[in-house]
Amino acid sequence: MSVLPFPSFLDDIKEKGARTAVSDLIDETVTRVTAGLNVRDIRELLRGEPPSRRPNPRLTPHADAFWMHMRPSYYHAAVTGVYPTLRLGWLTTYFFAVEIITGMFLMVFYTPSPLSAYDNMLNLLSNVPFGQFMRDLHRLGAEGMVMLVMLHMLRTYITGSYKRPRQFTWATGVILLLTTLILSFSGYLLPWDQLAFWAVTIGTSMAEAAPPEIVGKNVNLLLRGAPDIGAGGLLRFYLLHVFALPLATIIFLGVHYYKVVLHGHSLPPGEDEIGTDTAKRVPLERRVYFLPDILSNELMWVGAATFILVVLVVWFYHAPLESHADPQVTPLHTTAPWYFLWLQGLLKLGDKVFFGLVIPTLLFLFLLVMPYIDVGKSRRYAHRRLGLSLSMLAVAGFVILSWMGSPEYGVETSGDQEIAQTLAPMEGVGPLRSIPFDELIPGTYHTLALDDAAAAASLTARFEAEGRNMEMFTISAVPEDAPHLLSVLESFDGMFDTLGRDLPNAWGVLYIQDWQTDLKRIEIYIEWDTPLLTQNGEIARDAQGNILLELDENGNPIRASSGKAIYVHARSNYFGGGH
Amino acid sequence: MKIETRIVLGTAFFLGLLLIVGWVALNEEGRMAEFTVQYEARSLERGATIWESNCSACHGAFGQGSGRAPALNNPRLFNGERLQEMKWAGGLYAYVENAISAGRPASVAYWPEAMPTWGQQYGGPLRTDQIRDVTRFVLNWEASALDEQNPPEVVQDFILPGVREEGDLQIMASGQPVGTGLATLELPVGDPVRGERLYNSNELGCSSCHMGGVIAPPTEGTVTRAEQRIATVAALANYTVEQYLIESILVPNAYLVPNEGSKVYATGGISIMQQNYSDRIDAQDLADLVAYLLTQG
Repeated sequence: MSVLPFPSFLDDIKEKGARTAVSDLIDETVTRVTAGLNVRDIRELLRGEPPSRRPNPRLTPHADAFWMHMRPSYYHAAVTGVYPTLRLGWLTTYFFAVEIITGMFLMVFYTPSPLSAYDNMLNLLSNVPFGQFMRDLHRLGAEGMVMLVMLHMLRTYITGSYKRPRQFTWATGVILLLTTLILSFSGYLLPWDQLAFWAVTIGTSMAEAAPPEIVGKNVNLLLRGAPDIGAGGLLRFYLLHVFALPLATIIFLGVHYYKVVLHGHSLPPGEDEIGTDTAKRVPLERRVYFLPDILSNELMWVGAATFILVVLVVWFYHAPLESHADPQVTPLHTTAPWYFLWLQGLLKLGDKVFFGLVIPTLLFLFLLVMPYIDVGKSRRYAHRRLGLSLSMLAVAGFVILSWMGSPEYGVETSGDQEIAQTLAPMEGVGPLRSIPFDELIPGTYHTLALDDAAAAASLTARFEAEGRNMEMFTISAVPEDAPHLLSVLESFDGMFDTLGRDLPNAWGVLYIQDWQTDLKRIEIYIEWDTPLLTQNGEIARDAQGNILLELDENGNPIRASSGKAIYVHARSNYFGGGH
Repeated sequence: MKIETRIVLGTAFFLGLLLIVGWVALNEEGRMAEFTVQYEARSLERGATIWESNCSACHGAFGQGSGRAPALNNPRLFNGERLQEMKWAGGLYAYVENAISAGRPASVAYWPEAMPTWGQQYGGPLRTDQIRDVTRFVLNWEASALDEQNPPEVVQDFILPGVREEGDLQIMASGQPVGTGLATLELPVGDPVRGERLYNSNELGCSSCHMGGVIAPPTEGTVTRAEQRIATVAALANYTVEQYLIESILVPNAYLVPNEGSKVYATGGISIMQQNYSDRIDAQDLADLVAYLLTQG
């Protein structure tokens, strides 16, 4: 016997022999680590055999282990298929995990300061192995998570899973929707590019509208750290993004998951008697145990989802990075992120306070308490025609408002600017920059001449007679070896029938010059007859809808013009699919 | 033993993942190098845009220099002479970047205007990345500046302190503004040399807009364009070139040059040119300016 008051390992060896003593020790250690499963249990689990001892040891970890107690020990067979959950809640959590992992990688290479944030992005892309990969994953994951969380909510509504006893689960889900949206939005600012800066400027301008003025002013100051977004705002958004919001999300995710364990997954609407909920009383023969079936299924889904994400970011998706944030330069079409476009659409309807603050707040509060208002007992589709129709109406409203929020709706820009912007956008590539560099042959190309040499010569003669600057207005026909240039010029011409329909008798030229070694300058020049304006500043038309022209003292139309110059370098690789 | 489909699928997905990530790892070096090349090229494009709007008025659209600032498309900048002259110990990139961001406060002693400070850290308008953009654009002149077969046009070389000839350039010496009475105007004989100095002077500032044709029509080719205009525009039919120039200086709105491309010379029937030269110069100044402009074929 040992000198100690309990048997030592040495005593065990003496008593059982070395082999048995060691294997018992391993068994015991494994049981402690797994909170209930010994080596033999695990072997059976992996082999897909039923447990050989009773009570079922596979249930113990659900009671004794922290992470496992967040998951139900068995599912009803009716909820393990794709329907009715579509795996949307699970996928959302999976995306959240992806965001945490990729986010920690990105944090290592990031300093939240306007002086260095954008340089950090460039460093990430040019100097950090897997930097672009991780950034793309993080961005795609964020968009995916927002989309999934919305779809998950829609699914929960459609299957009526928010009804008694799961009202509170729904409410925590609505809070998670909110934290997800703000998480994604706060991350938007961090790259400190034009996209980030202006999307967030628009987004936070709502706060300023909160009445009374003293509240709005101070909420805005609190959020942005200054009247405008700058160093203070970036730091605040960064802290929200990496600390406050993930913490809030994890807390509510815990509650949300715990409620699922407590109430069980709601069965498909047809399974239960109306008004009853048997999710927690699963008949033995319909139980599917978490260990091993649900777990291995989830692992497969982790593989599948990660595979799809990785394929997307390697070949199909790259996170956008526009030019450095510049408070002096407002991009032509500034929009909120897609999931806030509906709000931008609402704002176009009228009063900023009512449509931008009151309605969204009421909407959020309504979603939060909706299960307590809709007390209808039945979850069956046929009994919820009104509710389901309303939800489809809400989805349609979301889509329409989002469209109204886009620049397509209610944003008036003059046609010449739209055309120049389409040909060579301020951010991104556009058709003009996509022309291969060696097709940018110096010369002036006219939309009325295209590749017609005779038309080019007659235009040149006309311009000479008009006394124009012939350095720019000597028109050439597009050479045969520049098919891309020709097709861009043709689409430029076509734009006068669409974007430029308010520009009477309009034409345009592309004026290409050699500028420096490997650098060309291209000027987009558009000229049209000045339309007559009514007193409201609208374009005046005759009875047939033709545009009336402003005339000079001799009765001739007055030509108006506008131009925009860009530079293209041989190695910018716009045409090589560079993004 | 039956193997579950999900096990097979899951394993396949994880193996596929390993393959793709491995493939990405092999290509990372190349991708990063390609990004750097592409980024620098696009930075140079932005630099060209900044040059056009901020620098070309004095240094010339093609870096040829003007009466207000030296040529930078200049062999002496790239062959090391200039760095030696300035006793600069670092590289050319740092030299140019430094000159742009910090400016040259002392250059006012030998140029009509000092090189301003452009960097935000020195109180200027440009961010660090924009300074880098412009620096890349300037350094891209290296090949053409050092091309001995086809040397660049250098309108104005660097000036060393004390080299500039400082005379007494007294504007409106007579104290009598020339006014806008064109019908009765009689001009003395003009001196094109003094006219050029007036044109480039800080006080009148003609060249700050007209040099290189960035903001206003370019100085070079003035006479040719005037002749063309007189021949084609009905309202100018009876003018001589001299009369046209005098009217353009004293009454800029009398005839408006049509806007050209991105260059807007007049908005709402009002020329962007300063409207008060008739009060700021006397008959002799005007005669000298016109004499100088008549040398600009």
